[in-house]
Amino acid sequence: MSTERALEIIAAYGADSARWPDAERDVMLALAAGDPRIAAALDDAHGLDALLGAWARDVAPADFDIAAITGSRRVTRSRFQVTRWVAGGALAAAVGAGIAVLAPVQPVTRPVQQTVSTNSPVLLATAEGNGSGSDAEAFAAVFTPTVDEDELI
Amino acid sequence: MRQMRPLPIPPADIAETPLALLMARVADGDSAAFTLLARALQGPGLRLADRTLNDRAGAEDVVQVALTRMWTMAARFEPTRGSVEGWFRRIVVNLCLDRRRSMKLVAPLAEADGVASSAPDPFEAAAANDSRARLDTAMQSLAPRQRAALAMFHGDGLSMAEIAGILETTPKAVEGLLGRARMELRALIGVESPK
Repeated sequence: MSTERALEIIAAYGADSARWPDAERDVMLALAAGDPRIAAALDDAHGLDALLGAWARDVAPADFDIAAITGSRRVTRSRFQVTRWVAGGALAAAVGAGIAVLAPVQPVTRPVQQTVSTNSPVLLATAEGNGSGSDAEAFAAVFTPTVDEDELI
Repeated sequence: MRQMRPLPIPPADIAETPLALLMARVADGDSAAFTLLARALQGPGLRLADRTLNDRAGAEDVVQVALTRMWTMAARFEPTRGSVEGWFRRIVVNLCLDRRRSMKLVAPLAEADGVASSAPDPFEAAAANDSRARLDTAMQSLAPRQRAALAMFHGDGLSMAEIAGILETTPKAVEGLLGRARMELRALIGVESPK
C-alpha cells in the first residue's frame, strides 16, 4: 500500500482503525508506525472525528403524531398486487395495440412460388378487406380503459 | 390459493419483536405493530433528516411524511432486498434530497469566521463550543448527500456499503464523498488535534 492510499483512507474513514477497510487495516497500522505523514494525518483526523460524532448524534428528540398516520388510507397487499397485474395488463394491451395498428400497413404477399412463373406476385386482401371491422374500432376496443386502468392513468 | 393470515403477536412479546416481523404485521394493517416500529425508527430518522437538511422544522416534516409512507406503502416492502431500517433511511434521504432540490438555500460562508464562543468559563470549553459552532456553520456549505453520508457514517456507524445502498451509489463513491466532505470541513473550521 502506498502512503497516498493510506492518507485517502484516513481522509474518508477517520482515525479509528476499526472503521477502516478490513483488507487494508493491518498494512495501514504497520505503515502508520513508521511514516510521519500518516501519523500526522491520524492525529489530525482524531479531532474531526470527535466533532463529527457529536454533530451526528446530538439531535433533540421529537414526538410524532402516529395516531394520525394510522388513520391514513393504506395500499393493501391485495390492492398492490392487483395494481401490478393491471399495470402489466395495460402494458401488454399497449403492445398488442401497436401490433394491431402496424400490421395492416405491411402488405402481405403470397409465399414465393418454387416454380418459375411469368406472372407478377399478387397482393392478398388487406385487413380492411377481411370484414373484421375498421382500424378505429379495433383500436378503441383495445384502448377502452377499465376502472382500475383509469385509476392508474 | 387462499393465503393464511399470520397469528397475532401477544402484546407482552411485541416489544421484543424484530423490526422485520413488526414490518410484516404492519403490511397486514396492524397499527399496534406500526406504533412500535415508528417509535424505534423515528429517532434515527430524525437525526438523519436533521443533519441532511440542516433544518430542524424541515426534518420533522420529512420524518412525519416518511412514517406515513411506511404505513401506507408497507405492502411494498420486500425483506429480501434489505432491512427495515435501511428501507426507512432510504425513504428519509430521498425525501430530504427532494426537498433540497425544490428550495435552494444559500449560506454565507463568511459567517463561519465571525462565530464567537458564548461560553464564559474554561478556555477548553469555549474552544469546544467555538469549534462546534464553526462546524454547524461550515456544514451549510456541504451538499446534502455529503451531510447524509457523514451522519450515517459518524452517527449511525454504518459501513460504506450500507451507505452506498441507501444513497444508491457505490462504496467507492461514498468513500470519495466522505473524503471530500471531511477535507472541506477541515479547511473551513481549522480543526486541531485534541492533544
